This record gives sequence, structure tokens and C-alpha cells, in this order.
Amino acid sequence: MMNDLLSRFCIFGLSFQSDGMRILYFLITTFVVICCSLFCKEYLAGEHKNKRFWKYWIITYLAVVGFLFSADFFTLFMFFEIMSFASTVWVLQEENEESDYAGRLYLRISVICGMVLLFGFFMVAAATGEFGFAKIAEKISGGVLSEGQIFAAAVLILVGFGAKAGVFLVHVWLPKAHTAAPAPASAVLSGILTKTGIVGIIITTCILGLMGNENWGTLLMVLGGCTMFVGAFLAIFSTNLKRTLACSSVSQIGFIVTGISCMVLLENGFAYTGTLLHMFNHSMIKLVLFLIAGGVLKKTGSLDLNKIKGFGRNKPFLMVPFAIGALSIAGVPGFSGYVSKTLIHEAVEAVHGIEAAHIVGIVFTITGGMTLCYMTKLFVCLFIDKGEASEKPGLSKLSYAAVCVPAAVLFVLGILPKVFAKIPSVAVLKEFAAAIPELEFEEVEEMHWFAFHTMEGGLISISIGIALYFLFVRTLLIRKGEYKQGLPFWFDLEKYIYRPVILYFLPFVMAFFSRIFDKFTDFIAYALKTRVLTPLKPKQKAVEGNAVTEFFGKLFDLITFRNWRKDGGERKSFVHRFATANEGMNALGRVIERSLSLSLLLFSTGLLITLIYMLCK
Amino acid sequence: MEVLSIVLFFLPVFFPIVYGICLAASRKKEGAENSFTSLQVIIPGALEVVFILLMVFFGSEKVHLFNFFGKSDLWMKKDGLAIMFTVLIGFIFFVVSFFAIGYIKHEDSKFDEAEGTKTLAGSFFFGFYFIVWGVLVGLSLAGDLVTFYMFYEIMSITSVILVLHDMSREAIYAAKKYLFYSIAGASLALFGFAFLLFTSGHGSLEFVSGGHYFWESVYSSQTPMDMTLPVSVQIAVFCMVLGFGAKAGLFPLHAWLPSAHPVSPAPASAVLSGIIAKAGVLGIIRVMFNYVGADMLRGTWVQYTLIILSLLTVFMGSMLAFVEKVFKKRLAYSTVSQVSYVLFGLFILQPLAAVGALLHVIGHAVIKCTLFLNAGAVIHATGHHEVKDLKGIGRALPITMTTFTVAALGLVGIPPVCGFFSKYYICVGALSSGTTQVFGYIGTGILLVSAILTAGYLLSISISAFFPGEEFEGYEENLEKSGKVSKGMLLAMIILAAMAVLLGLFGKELVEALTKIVKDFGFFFDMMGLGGLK
Repeated sequence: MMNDLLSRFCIFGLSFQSDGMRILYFLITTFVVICCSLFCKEYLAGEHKNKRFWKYWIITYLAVVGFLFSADFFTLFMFFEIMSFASTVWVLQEENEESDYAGRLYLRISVICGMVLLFGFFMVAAATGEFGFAKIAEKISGGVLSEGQIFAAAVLILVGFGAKAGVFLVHVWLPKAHTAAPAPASAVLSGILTKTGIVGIIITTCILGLMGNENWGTLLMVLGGCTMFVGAFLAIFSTNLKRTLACSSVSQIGFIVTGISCMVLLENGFAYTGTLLHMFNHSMIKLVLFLIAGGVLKKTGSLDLNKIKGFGRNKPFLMVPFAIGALSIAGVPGFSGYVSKTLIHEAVEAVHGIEAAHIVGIVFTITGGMTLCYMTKLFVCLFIDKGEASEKPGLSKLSYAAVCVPAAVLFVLGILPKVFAKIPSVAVLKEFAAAIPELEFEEVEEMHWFAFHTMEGGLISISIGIALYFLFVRTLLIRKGEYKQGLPFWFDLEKYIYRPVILYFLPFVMAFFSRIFDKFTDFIAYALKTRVLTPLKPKQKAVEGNAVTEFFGKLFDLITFRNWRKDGGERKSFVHRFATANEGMNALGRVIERSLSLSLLLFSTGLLITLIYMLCK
Repeated sequence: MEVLSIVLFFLPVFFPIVYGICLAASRKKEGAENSFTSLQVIIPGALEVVFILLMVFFGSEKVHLFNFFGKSDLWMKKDGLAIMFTVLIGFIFFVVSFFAIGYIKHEDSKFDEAEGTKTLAGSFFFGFYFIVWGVLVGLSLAGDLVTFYMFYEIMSITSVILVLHDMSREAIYAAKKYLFYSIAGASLALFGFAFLLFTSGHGSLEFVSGGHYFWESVYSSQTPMDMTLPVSVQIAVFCMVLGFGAKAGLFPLHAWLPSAHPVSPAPASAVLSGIIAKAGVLGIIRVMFNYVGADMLRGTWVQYTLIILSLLTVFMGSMLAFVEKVFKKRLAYSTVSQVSYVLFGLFILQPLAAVGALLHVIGHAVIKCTLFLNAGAVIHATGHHEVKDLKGIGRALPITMTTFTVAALGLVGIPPVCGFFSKYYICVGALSSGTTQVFGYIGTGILLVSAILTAGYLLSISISAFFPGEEFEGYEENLEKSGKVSKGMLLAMIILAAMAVLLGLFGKELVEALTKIVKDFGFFFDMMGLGGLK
């Protein structure tokens, strides 16, 4: 009965399924949302339009859950879109200039990339005639689409999901939207919504039969490398607390995408473990960090690093969770981020025969160092530097609980890497298991977490990070105790490239051509009315001037559009002007003629008199 | 029995026409505030809906009218398409009339000091509203080309009054333009029609499922795939489609829409773009699928040219809507683009796409009526016509702008609102059509770009309406001096917006019914296309 109803609901019918990975992420989502809701009690007190916020908070949560458990592409897409639109309200919630800019940007990116995604979806649906993941995978492996078409569809879908995840080139909304949204919303946007994009990418890869496809793996590898580096780069230069965290999100998504590319290339459980654990870590870490940032904003009214200096001094319940989050995200051994980053790093090293993997491996290590660098920068600013903000009061107990509980979870998992690394082996995504029949997790269990050769990469990263912090940040980005914005103002892909092109240039050009087509028929009708359908006037004989003046007059009239005017055309026309001028010329000529003949007459009279005089002499 | 069935067919057509003439001719009572009362509109409207339903449930298959100059018999027919259109027309006209009562009462005999002109009386408006209603029902029931053409012309001429209602200089200009384009389109159609009659020497003018030319080719025992239409017939079909395309806003003859919509009263714009534009679509369906036959046109220059024209219109309409600043004109350009979605779905000649086209006829009618009523409510309450003045209006008119947002999401194509599904069928149909797959890819691309532009021109209004800034307060004094949005108006908007969502949520039966209609279109060689229907 229930199934029958569901299969008719929304025309195509909805279908759901569950597996370990979906349940795990459902639990994480619920945990994050509950923590944020607890935090909201203090954060939203005294703000406007709270009811609206809660309404869309719940809608988005339900949409995320629906998205996670969907078993077919239509359900997936529907909940994805509902989630995008509902979460736009969060970004717009504050209703100031910044949130308006960010919200509209978020909506534009959602719509544009959603439609690109839809194109890919249409291609798959048209070729297979199916929506269910399992059935699509079956049909695709049966060869209904050529390899090129599959790749094209996959790239289109990647654009759509990548935009939500924040993959390079479509990551531009993330730093702005996360900064503008209320802090609990930022935590969910960054911790959960970006992951839906990642889940979408993994599912697409699995059902389109792209596991083991080298081109696809390389593409993801390159994108992941770019994303992680660009995010970390922007984060180092940022002087805004939440913006730094948002850029850090972009960077961490880069690590996760790299993990996916290793899943594609290696086709084993090793890369899967790293990817899933990093998703988990990132969700929890960003929950802690964004909530702390929210507390800072609530109490100091600012996110500028120069104004919030020292806020966390003498507040151990902020300092310890922040330290755990920071160390974890930087991948310091002994914390949970170390486990996931090490796994992804080992996976990248294990990829053979692809040039990009070597470069990405190096970028990986450097970016790990950069992560430590910008987290240290934030930590030092908040908890070590001295400033006015240290006098501000702390948060309520409930808010402290919302921050400390996830931090405690992270800490416990960090010191028990063996247990932690076991989670993915029980939480396997159904589509992934279907795409790779002989999935094994033995390699992960054999890892020696605290052996030197395992820690080697992490330690190199850490030393790079420390060096970067002391040699670069402390010397160049901090002048006289002030944090400086190191990047020039035009270093903004969205504001100075995307926006002018997509919002102004293209519409201008396209609207110009559209307008021509729009006025086409009207113009013909007008021309018919004024030129052809008016009764012909009898041809008038030229009343003035001669043939030459009339010819040139008409020519000039034609050039200057004189004869198209209705009023005073007769008097202003060049025919008339030339005729008058000709008349004048003639008159002048006559005057000259006459005066010349008179003077000739006088001259000859003079000559005659002279002649007579000379004769008489 | 014969008499009863004739009565069942004639009642929904001629009852509103007669009643409309009486209403238009009636005088304003002494001392009455308005020239009409609410009951004068609602009761006949409800009656008409009942008549339509009676006809749908108890009417016979077809009714013979009379013989046309000994050449052909004239029929009224109740096929699937006719049922779909009559029910749609009944629903939309009935719901919009709730809105129209409040709106027209406010406008009734308004005097414009600047121009010294008076708007037409409200009773006159409703008189013609009913006449157009009846004529449209007749148009959907017409069973042959002559009857169809007759109702089509009457509809063009009577609906001019709806545009003219304001009697301002712009309204008169727009009405003239509307008349010009309608007549140009109709004469083009008539030309094609006459050309078809006298060159092919075809006796029958009746609409049959599958088309005459198809059956002719079957009877002459040729395989229809080999048989091509004579060039003269191709030209005739092209002319007829272009001519009926004038009402549907197809490229060369679309320009009346953006002129006529902004000046006509909101309920009139709603039915103009929701229903009357679809009358052109109906004409095109009748010619292409019920007179000539889909299989006969596949792969000809006619099909390719029409596809290009429809795609051009889709893009042009949404692009110009994107840069347009007047609210109702923006919606008018949006109609230009959206109705061409339907035409693209038809021209691609694939059954799945045809299902999508029919679904979009319904979906777009409901959604665009909602949007125009929203625009009307905004103008009614604030007097603002331009988009930039709508900042913060969500605070003042929350229900209006909520329904606007729901409808906008539907038009963009966000599931579960109904616009998504029609787009899905059209695009997937186009992508899986064998011969025209290149057009499928281009068309899908253009449709999705158009959807992005749709989001750009509609959702931006929603955002500035609902998120004007925390300290914004600017609508209080404006609202006091203008009309209040009455309950009837709100009801109409809520019903339509709810309908848009419900069609998406529970539209499975509808899609199955539409599939049956499409089976009548005569896709004999592409029926397996419907296998992909979920």
C-alpha cells in the first residue's frame, strides 16, 4: 500500500533505500543539526525573523535526509533542488547588503549548475529510460550510451554536484555564502550540504560505470588538487574568521575529491576509507569551528581578525575544542584528521602510471602544511594575542555543550585510529559495492598508525606549515600587530570574471540580437504601412533649380535621411537649399557680369579718351 | 437521443455566449455602485462548469452539424484533446473570475483625467469574458477545419475587447496591434487551408486521429515511410502552422503578446496567455496530427524550419524577459518563450515529447495565470508597474508573493511543482528521437538556458520582495490609499498555486490520460517511444 502510493507520488514515484554509509551520514547529519539547533538558542536570541529560519531549517534537514536515502535519480534530484532552495533562505536570513549579495550568488550558482546537472540527468534518462540507480547501472553496462556520451553526461552531472560541494571553478559561492549566513547555518552548509555534493559525485561515478576509468580519475585528481590548493591559498590570506573557515572548507573538499579520484583509479577499499573518514572528520571539525566563530560574532559583533584578538583568552571551553578541531584538520598525528589524510595520501602514492598523481601528491603535502599554517594563525589570533575582545563575556552553558561534545567525539576517535579506521568497512555505499565486487579492507587494518614511515608525510607537512607560519605569515601578513589582507582587491574570480561576463556581457549581447528578432515583424509592418500602403503622391515637377541641383539635393537628402521626416521636410530639404544656393550664385554671377562689362566699358572709354588725346597731341 | 446529445454539446458553447451578450448589453442600475454584481458572474460561471462536465461525462462521441456546400460534413467532436481543453478552460476561467470580480470592481468606470477617457463598464468586460469562454469551448469541440476556423476568428475578434478595457491610448494601440497580428495569422492559416483544399482535392475536412494523408497512403497500399507529402501540401501545412502560431506567439508573429499584456486588466492577461495562446497550440495540433499526420511530416523541411523557429522563440522570449523592466511585460515575454516549449515538444514529432507538450499546456496555463494574477494583485494594491518598485512587497502582500514564488519555481522547473515534469518529457523525448537527435541536444540546451533565465527574471523578484533588509518599511502608506486585495482574489491565487503543486504531486493519472491522447496523434512508427514513459 505504502509502496504503491510512493511509486505514484510525484508522477515518477519516489523510492528509497538504505545502507551502512547512508545510515552513517544520516546519523552525522542529525548530530550536526541537533548541535547547531542547541547553539541556535543563544545565537538567534534577539534576532529578527527567527520563525522563518526554523521553518527552512527543518525543510532543509528533511531534504538532506531524503537526498541521502534516495534510490533513484529523480528522488535524488528533487531533494537536491529543494535543499538548495531552502538553504538559500539561510544565506539571505540576515537581510543586509552582504547577505543579499551572497544569497543571490548562491541562488544563481544553484540554479545554473542545477540545470547543467539536469542536462546530464536527461541524457542518462533518455538513453536508459530508467531512474533507479541499480537499473541505470545495469543498462549502462549493457552499452546503451557510447563512452563519449557517458563521459559528457558525467561531466555535466559533476558540474551540478561539484557546485554544491565547492569544487574548483564553481567554488566561488562558498566563501561568500558561508560568511554571510548565521553561524549554525554555516556549520551545516559547510559540514553537511557540501557533502551531499560529494555523495552525488560518488553515486554518479558508480552508476555510470566510471570506476576504473582513467580519464575520469585524472579529471577528478586534477580538480581535487586545484581545489585543495586554491582553498588553502585563499584561507592563508583571509583576515575574516568565517571566511578563513569557508576557504578551508573548499580546501578540505579538494582532499575529499582527490580521495574519490583514488577510489576511481585504485578501485579498492583503501581509498574509500580515506574519503569517507575525511568527510566524517570535516563535518565534525567544521561544526566545532563554525560554532565557535558564531560565538565570537555574537559576543564581539565582528569577525575581523583585528577586532576579535584575544577573545578566547581564559575561556578553556572554547580553547580546547578549537585546538582539537585545528590540530585535527591539520592532520597532526594523534588527532582524527591524521587518520583520514594519511589514508588519502597513501592512496595517491599508490596510483601508478598517471602523471597528475605525482604532482597532486606534492601539492597534497604542501597544502597540508598550509592548513596547519592558517589554523595556527586563527588560534594565535583568538587565544594568544592580547586585545580588547578578551574582556567580552563567554557563551552560555548550552552553547559550550554544543561545541564541546563534537570536539570530544573527535578527540576520542583521534586517539583510537584502529577503531576509527574500521568504520568505513561496515559503512559501505551500496552503489560502490555493486560497482566493485571484490571490495576488501584488509590493507587498512594492517596499517601501523604510529610507525615512523606512516607519519612521515604528516611530519613533512607539519614542518612546512610551521615554516610557512613563521617565515611568511608572521613576517609579511602581520604588520605592527595588525593582520593584513595580503591579496589585491581584484583577486576575485567571481566578482571580476564570472559576474561581468554572465550577468552583464552575455545578456547584453544576446538581448541585442533577440531584440532584432523581436522587432523584425513590427518593422516589416511599419515599413509596409509607411512605404507601400500609403497612396502614392503624383510626381511633382521640380519647381526650382535645375537638374544638377535636384540630383545632388536628393542624394544629400537620402544620405542625411532628410526626406523621412514628416514636418518641414519641404523647406529643410537639400533640394530646396541647393536650388536657392544656385539662384544666389546665378544672381551673383549676373552682378559680376554686369560690373565687369561696366568696368570694361569705362576702361575702353578711358582708352578712347587717351587715344583721342594722344592723336590730338 | 440525437436531440439530447446536440443539447449537451451546444449548452456549454452557446449558454455563455448568449448570457455574455445579455450582460454586455445590460445597463447599470440607478444608485448601484458597480455595473455588475458578484453573483452575476459566479452563478453563470458555475453553471457553465456544470454544463462542461455534463458534456464531458454524458455527451456522445460526435455530433453532426450540417453539410458544408455539399462538400463536406461539419462536426463537433469530443475526443481526448477536446476534453482536456474544455476542462482546462472551464477550470481556469472559473477560478480567474473570482479574481476578476474584485479587480474589475475596483477598475469599474475609472476616469483617467490626463487623457479624458473612461474605462469600459465592468459588465461589458464580463460580457465579453463569457463570450470568449463559450467560443473557446466551441473551439475545442470543433471537429473539422471549417468549424474550427469559424470559432477561431470569433475568438480573435471578441477577445480584443478584453485588451481594450482600459481605453487609454496604449490600450487602443495594443488592441489594434493584437487585431492586426490575429488577422494576419488567421489569413495565413486560411490561405494554407484554401491551398490545401484546392490543390489536393481532398474531400473531407474532418479531424481524424492519425491524419488524412496517412490513411490515404495506407489505402493506396504504399508503405507510408516511402510516401512523402506533395510540396504544395507541405507549403500549406507550413502556412497554417505559422498562422496558428500567431496566437501561440511563434517567432514571426509573436509581437502582439508583449504589447497586449501590460495594458489589459490582469484577469484578461491571465486568460490571454493561459488559454488563448493555447488556442493557437490547439490549432497546430489539429493541423499536424489530426489532419495531415505526424509521420508524414517527419524529416521534411517543414519540421526542421518549425523546430528552428520554436527554439529561436524560446531563447528570444526568455532573454527579453530577463532584461525587461515592466512586470507584466516581463511575464508576457515569458509566455512567448514558454508556449514555444510546447511547440518545440510538438514539432519534434516524438510521442514522449508530445506528452510533455500537452502537460506543459496545462502546467503553463495554471502557472502563468497565477503569475499574472499576482502581478494584477500587486498593481491593484500598490499601483506599481515596474519591477524595481517591488522591493519589500512580500511584507505587505505575503500570500500574493508566496504564490508567486511557488509558481515561479514551477516555471523554472523545480520538482515537485508541475513545470519540471513537462520539461522532463519534452527534453527526454527530444533526446531520444532518432532522426532529429541533433535538434534534441540543441533544444535541450536551449530549454535549460531558458530555465536559467526564467529563474533570473522571476526569482530575483521574489528575493527582493521577501528580503528587503531588516529596517525596510516602505509599503504602509502606499497600501492605504490603494485598493485592498479581496478574499476572492486571494482565493483564486491560492487555488491556482496549489493546483500547480498538486499537479506535480499527484499527476500520474493525468500523464496516463495524456498518453492516451497522444496515442491518437498517429505516431504509428514511433509508438515504442512511449515505452520509455515512466
